[in-house]
Amino acid sequence: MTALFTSNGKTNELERRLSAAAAFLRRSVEINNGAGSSAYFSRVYQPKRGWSAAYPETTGYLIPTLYRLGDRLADPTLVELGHTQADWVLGLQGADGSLPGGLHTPGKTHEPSVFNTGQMILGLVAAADRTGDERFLQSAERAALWLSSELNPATGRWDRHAYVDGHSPAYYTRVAWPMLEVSSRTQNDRIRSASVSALDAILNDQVESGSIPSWSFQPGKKAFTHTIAYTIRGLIESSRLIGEAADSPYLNAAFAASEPLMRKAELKGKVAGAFDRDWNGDDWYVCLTGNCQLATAWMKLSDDTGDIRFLSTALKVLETPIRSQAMSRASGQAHGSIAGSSPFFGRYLIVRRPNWATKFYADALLDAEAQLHDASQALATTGKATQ
Amino acid sequence: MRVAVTAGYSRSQHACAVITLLERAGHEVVAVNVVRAFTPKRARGYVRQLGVKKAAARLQQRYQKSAATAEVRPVSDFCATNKITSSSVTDCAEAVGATITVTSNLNADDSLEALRGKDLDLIIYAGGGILRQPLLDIPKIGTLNAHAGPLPDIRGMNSSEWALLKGQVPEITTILVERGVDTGPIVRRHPIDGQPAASIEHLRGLATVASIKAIVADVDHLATNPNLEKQDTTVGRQYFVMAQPLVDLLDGALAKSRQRP
Repeated sequence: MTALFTSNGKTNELERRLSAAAAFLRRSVEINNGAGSSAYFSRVYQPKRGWSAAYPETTGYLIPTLYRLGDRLADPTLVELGHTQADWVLGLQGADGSLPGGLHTPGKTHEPSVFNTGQMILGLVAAADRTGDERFLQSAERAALWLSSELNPATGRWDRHAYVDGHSPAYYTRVAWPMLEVSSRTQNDRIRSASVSALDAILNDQVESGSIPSWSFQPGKKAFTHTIAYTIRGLIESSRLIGEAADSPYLNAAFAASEPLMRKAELKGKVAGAFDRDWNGDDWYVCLTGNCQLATAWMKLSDDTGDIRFLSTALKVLETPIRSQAMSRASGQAHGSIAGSSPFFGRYLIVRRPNWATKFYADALLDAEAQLHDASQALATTGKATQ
Repeated sequence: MRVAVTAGYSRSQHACAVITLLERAGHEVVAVNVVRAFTPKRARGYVRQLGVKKAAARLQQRYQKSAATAEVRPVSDFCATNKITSSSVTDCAEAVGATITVTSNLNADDSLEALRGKDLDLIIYAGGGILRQPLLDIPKIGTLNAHAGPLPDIRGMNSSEWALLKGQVPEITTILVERGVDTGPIVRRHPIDGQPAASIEHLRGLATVASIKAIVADVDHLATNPNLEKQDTTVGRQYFVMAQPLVDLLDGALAKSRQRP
């Protein structure tokens, strides 16, 4: 870990790992001839091909990561790959503005999905910012308007087009966030108002322990850190976009949900793979994807609250994914990737290497590099205590 | 005052200095309870908190006769200056006529029995892990601890490092131990001399020296000043072991500050 991040934030080891992650993500697209990124690589689930079908949802949020990797590694082909994936997502949009759920099967009509639409908006917005091409923002706005129209105004919940019928999960904060990304660019009040309603409804689900029981995939079941981190990140980003001061209810909710988890991580030396509403964890495996996502969420929380404990814990929870990255020559097409869980047969995405685990890993490494650089600068300019 | 001293391991120079200097200041050190350096539980705790490599280094340090690391050197120099020649807690305890109890846990029955019935005014915490209520109930005044950071802001682990990272000047805060982590009433605040340190390890060493001096001074202070400052625990936060990349950043900043003319 120490060798990865030096005070000037630039080491060959970090670049080696980021390059390997980027190469894995590139292969996940090339296997589909550029038409989306495969959801995962697994010789158990896909003995012959290795790769699953393309996954529109995660291809969408892969786009900003490809741009960042392209910039960091000075590789314009990664930026170009981001553009082609944004074009592909654009072509998936339904007449009503929705974007599809599930894996992509060419020629088949796909059911729209609330969550997946939100995730693809993140890619479209990133492409709009990067290229200035109005098609992307227009598409993102149509998608956000579809989300607004699907929201039940009486409850602030989405009643349809869910991963589990009838379950409007707390990780829909990560739908409100992309909607706010759109409204902040288009000044569309309808979208903003719908996203605030959704966020407020989710805040009502938070219990005294800080957890939000509805953040699991299945109602009443333990939540993977993957969906816990989705929820926390959605709250943090929404708080930033709504522009409320430090007393934002969304930021406070993110803090309340994060602090007990951070304490657990520190006292146990690891983060369990999943938790119930009282923070009883499945300690026998680590959800590597969730660790990477928590690392990023906590670095942002550290920034927004000034509570630097979260930066420290974020760097620690990133250690397990760093150790687990497939870096041996024998790893073949999986080289550079992160598995869903550690051990490999852990409950989250058992024996698979999802593209989003590697995406969130790359995001977290880039965030850590930037945070350490900022902390170093702050010490140099304001660190009177060291002088 | 009649006091007992705890020690985290048998070669603790810190505990030796506290025992010796308290005796020289006219206090009665009647009991010394030392925790065995290696127990499986303790080793597991170190690994959880510090990771395998650092935990191994910590345990090695506990076993070896003090190596001349940047952390140990200020304490060794302080002991030499004060003519404290032994680094064996047992030897120091024997020299002052204290009973010696080597235990696996300060809260274990053998440890508590060794402290009960001694009419203790104070227990001086010089290491040995978390203290439970039955032990805290034994002394008349309380259990005195020197916390290496500003309270109530920074409770918990690596407080000097966290203070530095937050742009605060590290200091020692003496408190009477309560059940919560570093939440007890504040006795006094003391500077850490010799700053800026050359490195984090060096800072830890300087903080240890400052804590020895603070403890000895505040045993006297407590005898005449029973009214203590209650902590507002809503102000600060509990901190944990600092991630290594942040320690490295601080080390870099301290090294640079030493290079400045």
